[in-house]
Amino acid sequence: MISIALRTVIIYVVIIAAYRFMGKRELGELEPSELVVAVLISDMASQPMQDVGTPLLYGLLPTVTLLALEVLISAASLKSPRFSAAVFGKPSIIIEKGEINQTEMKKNRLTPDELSIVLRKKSVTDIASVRRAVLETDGTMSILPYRGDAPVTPKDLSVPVEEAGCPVIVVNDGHTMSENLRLLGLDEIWLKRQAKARGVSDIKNVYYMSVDDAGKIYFAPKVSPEKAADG
Amino acid sequence: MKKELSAALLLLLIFAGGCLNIFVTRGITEDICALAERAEYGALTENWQASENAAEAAIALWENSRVYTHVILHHSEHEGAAETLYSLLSAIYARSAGDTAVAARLVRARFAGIAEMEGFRLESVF
Repeated sequence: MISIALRTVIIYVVIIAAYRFMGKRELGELEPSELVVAVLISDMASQPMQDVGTPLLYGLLPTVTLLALEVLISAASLKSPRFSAAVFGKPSIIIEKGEINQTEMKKNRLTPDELSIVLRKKSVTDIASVRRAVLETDGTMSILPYRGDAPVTPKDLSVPVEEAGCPVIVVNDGHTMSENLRLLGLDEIWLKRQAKARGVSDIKNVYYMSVDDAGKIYFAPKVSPEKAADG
Repeated sequence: MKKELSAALLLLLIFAGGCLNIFVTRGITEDICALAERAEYGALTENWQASENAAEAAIALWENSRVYTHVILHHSEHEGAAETLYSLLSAIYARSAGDTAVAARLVRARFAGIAEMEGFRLESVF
C-alpha cells in the first residue's frame, strides 16, 4: 500500500515538473503533438502507479523521453516555419469574404453543421458578415468580421474614455504579496496604513486587496464564518 | 536555449543509460548462463559438488543483483528467472543428470531471453 502511495507521489512530482519544464504555452493550448504527449503521459504513468510489480522506471523513462522530445520539437518549430507546419499543421481559411471554402472544409473534415455550431458560439448569425474565418492549428476558429459588422468601440464613436489601471493583488487571503508591493513602489507600512484606514488593524484579516497603476484600491476584509453564513 | 540543451542532454543521458543497462544486464545474464553450463557439465560428468557450487553461485549472483533487476525488470520476470535457477539446484540435489541438463538449458534460455529483451535489436523494438 505504502509503495503505491509513494509511487503515486513520485509520478505526480515528475509529471508536474515535466509540464512546468515544457512551459505555459503547452498548458494553455494543445497542439497535436502536445495532445499526443498529454494522452501518452497519462496512460504510461498510470500503469506503474497501480502495479507494484512494474518498475517505476517503465513510467518515468517514457515520460521524460516524451518531455525532452516535446521541448526539442517545440524549439525546432520555432526555428523553422516549415518544420512547424509539418508538425503542427497550418491554419486553414474556412470563410473568405463571406464565402465558405469547401475544399478547406473537406480537408479539415469539417461539416456545415459543425461550422454553424462554431459560428453560433461566436454569435455570428450571417456568414456573409464574416470577412475571414480561420481554423487555427489548435482546433479553435478565429472569426474576423467586416469592419462594418464588428462591435462598436468607444474609438469608433469618438467617445473619450479614461484608461483603467491594471490591478495588482497586494493581499491574498491575509498574506502580503511583498513582491507585488515592491513592483508598485509601495511598502508594508503603506499597506498597514491603508488597512487601518479601512478599519482593519491586522493584514491577516484582509481577504483581498489590489491596487492598480492609477492608485485605485479595491479592499475586501475577511468575513467571519457566521457572518458569511448569514449573508 | 538552456531548456533545449537540457532536453537534448536528458535524451543523451537516457540513451547512455540504455547502453549501460545493456552492458550490465548482458554481464549478469552471461555469467549466469556460464554457471548453468558448468552445472550441466558437472552433472553429466557426475561431479555433483561442482555442479551444486555452480548453481548456488548463479543463484547468489542473481539474488545479489535484485536491486538492479527490480529497477529495470518486471518483478515477475525476476522471480520467474529465480525459479528456473532453483529448479536447476533441485535437479542437482536429486542427482538426476537428465533433469539437470534440461533445467540448465531452461536457465540459459530464460536468461538469454532477458538479455535479448534488454538489448537493442530491431525485433526487440517492434
